[in-house]
Amino acid sequence: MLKNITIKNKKLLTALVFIVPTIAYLIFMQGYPLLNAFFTSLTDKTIGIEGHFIWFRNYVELAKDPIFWKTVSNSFVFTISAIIFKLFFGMIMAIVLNQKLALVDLWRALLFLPWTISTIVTVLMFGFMYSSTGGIFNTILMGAKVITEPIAWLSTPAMAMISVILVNVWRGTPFFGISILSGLQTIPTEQYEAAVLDGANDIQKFLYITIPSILNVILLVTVVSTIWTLNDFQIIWVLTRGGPVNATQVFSTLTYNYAFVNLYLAKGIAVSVASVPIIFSLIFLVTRLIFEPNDKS
Amino acid sequence: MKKIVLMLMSVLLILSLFSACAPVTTDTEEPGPVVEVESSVDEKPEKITFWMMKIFVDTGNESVEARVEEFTKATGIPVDLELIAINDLMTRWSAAVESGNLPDLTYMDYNNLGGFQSRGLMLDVSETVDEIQRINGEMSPALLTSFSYGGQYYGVPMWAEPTVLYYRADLFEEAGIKSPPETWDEFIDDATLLTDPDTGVYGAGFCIGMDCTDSEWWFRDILWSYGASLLTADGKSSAVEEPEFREASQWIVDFFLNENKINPPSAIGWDDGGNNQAYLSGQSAMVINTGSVYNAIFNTDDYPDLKEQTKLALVPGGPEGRFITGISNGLAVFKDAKNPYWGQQLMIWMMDKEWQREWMTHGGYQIVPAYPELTEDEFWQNEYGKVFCDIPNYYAFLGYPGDFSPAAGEITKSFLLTRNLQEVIVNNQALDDMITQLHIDITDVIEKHK
Repeated sequence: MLKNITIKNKKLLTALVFIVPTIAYLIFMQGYPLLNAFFTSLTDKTIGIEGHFIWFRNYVELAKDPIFWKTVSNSFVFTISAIIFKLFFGMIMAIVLNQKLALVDLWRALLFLPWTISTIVTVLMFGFMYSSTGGIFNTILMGAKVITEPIAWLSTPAMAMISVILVNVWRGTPFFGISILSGLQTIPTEQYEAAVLDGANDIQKFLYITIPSILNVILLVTVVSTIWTLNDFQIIWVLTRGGPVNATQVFSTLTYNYAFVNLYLAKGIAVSVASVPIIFSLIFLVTRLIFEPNDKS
Repeated sequence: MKKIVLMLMSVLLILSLFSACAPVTTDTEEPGPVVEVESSVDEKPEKITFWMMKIFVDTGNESVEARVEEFTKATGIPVDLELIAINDLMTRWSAAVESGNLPDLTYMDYNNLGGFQSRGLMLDVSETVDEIQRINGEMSPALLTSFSYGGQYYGVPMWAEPTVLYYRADLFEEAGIKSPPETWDEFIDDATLLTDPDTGVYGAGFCIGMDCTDSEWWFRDILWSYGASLLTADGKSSAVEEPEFREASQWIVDFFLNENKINPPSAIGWDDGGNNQAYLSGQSAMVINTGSVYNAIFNTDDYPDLKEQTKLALVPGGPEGRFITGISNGLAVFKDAKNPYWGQQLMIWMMDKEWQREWMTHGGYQIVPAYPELTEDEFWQNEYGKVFCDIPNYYAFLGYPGDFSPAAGEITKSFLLTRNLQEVIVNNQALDDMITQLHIDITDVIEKHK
């Protein structure tokens, strides 16, 4: 009996050693800041001045603010478009890199390069390339007689949104590519050989073997990248500051504008908190999609 | 000579250290901020911190570093000097205020100073400003005004950034234009003559964007010269529904939508460097900018042709005269800084006139010193320097025709004017609708600050 209790205690102790740090981390590093942010968003706190509790007034004001709704719509357009393109190009990149190519390691390293360059360097580089004075995009397009006048990459609402999405896609595609590539490499070649014997063509092999085998990787990469893209700040802030006329204003830039440009900290946090349900829903949805089939099995 | 001046400064500094053992209070009858001096000569802090704006010329920054090192040698107090890019300062200040980890002395422009002062965060440094003037002589009244609230100084102006009209003399000659534009209407006429679609030259190069503070300054030059303003003289109401405002706004809209395309269409997406680049690349024949363009042309060998072709003039005026929005930079101390006394001592040290005489020569004419006497130096006595040092005579500050107010500061920082004008220029909103919306936006800001 005593021996049993000791073993039980030992197990409990071991469990606690692993659980307590995790719980402490969740409480102090995740829970407290989140609750604190939420509480602050219910006040009229500005930088340097104590806030007073005002319930949901910040949220009501945001709900009445057309710029906020423009921000919501922009955030979705920016995120969904960027994710679709990153997934598309990432898939192509992974499939190509999964072939038996000469110098394949070199190509992998080169294609992974955009992901390793710091975001700010990438953004500044694109800023120069978009420039109307000597920017390489306009120079090439005009040199090739594709256009007669320089494209105002960052100056019209539609082009500004396309331009910031392009930078995000350029930078984020390698993450999709490498992740999907790792998934592809786990698929046994026997499955493809068996499919060939059954008379499957390339498209059928892709649809019925490749995609189901890497679906979990795709979902996981998509949800992670969606969260990152939804919170993207540097690309938009450096290139457009949310302009022109709020055409590229997203959650993170509006938060920054309220909190650090105009010093309305509580309202800025309210914008961020308002995006949490969207992110949480995404995580919940994808987590269910990934893990539920495994749980049932 | 320099050594003697340095020795005198050291003696003055040491004397001022002894005189600072008692608490410094304001002389006003009304209860004002009181500086509780915790430090004394015997209680030197281990170090003090100084946040300075990083200017665009390395030698100017190096000069600041050297000056701070001299302070350390003179006092034995190490200074943790951080040269911070202008765009990062607001975030740093905000985080510092919230965390309580404040610098002992900081660079601050008058616009942001107003925002912090209205929150009761800034130290009244009136006595230090008096002391600086007693040691070095009088400062420019226009610049001093920009750091004064309710008769007290919450910072000391260190330098002004003058904006001038840069124009291509060779293109003017080709177009048969005899002199630079004196009025905004002449400016449009000249820009039209200078625009040449065949060579890709635009008559002007002006931005209008969220990343381009130049647009906010330049728009105010125009508004005020037309007798318009954003706020009434008492600062309590919006003034944008006045006919003068409509006239000035119409001018701005007509400029950007001009049928002759006198301004690059991409200007809507430019940042603050956009107009510099447009002029330096030959895309635009006229731009309004600070000494940064002068510095790029005349202090480097990158643009040999432009050295011959570039001339400077005052910014054009309107029916009500010539106005130039004052850009005034200075030093300030947060009330809750750990070592406010030593922060002020460093402030005195940095405001030394003889050091400023040397410092202002860095970076072309980007630094107009706070001491008018220095603009009589030989450095300013040429055709370019004279234009730059004439600028403060036309200065008006945010809040004009009234005093600067935190609401005026927020209206500028929020780019309310740019944002609303963009709606007309980019989204074809009716001008009257824009004015109605701007009136609502400005009134909201005023209400928040009441």
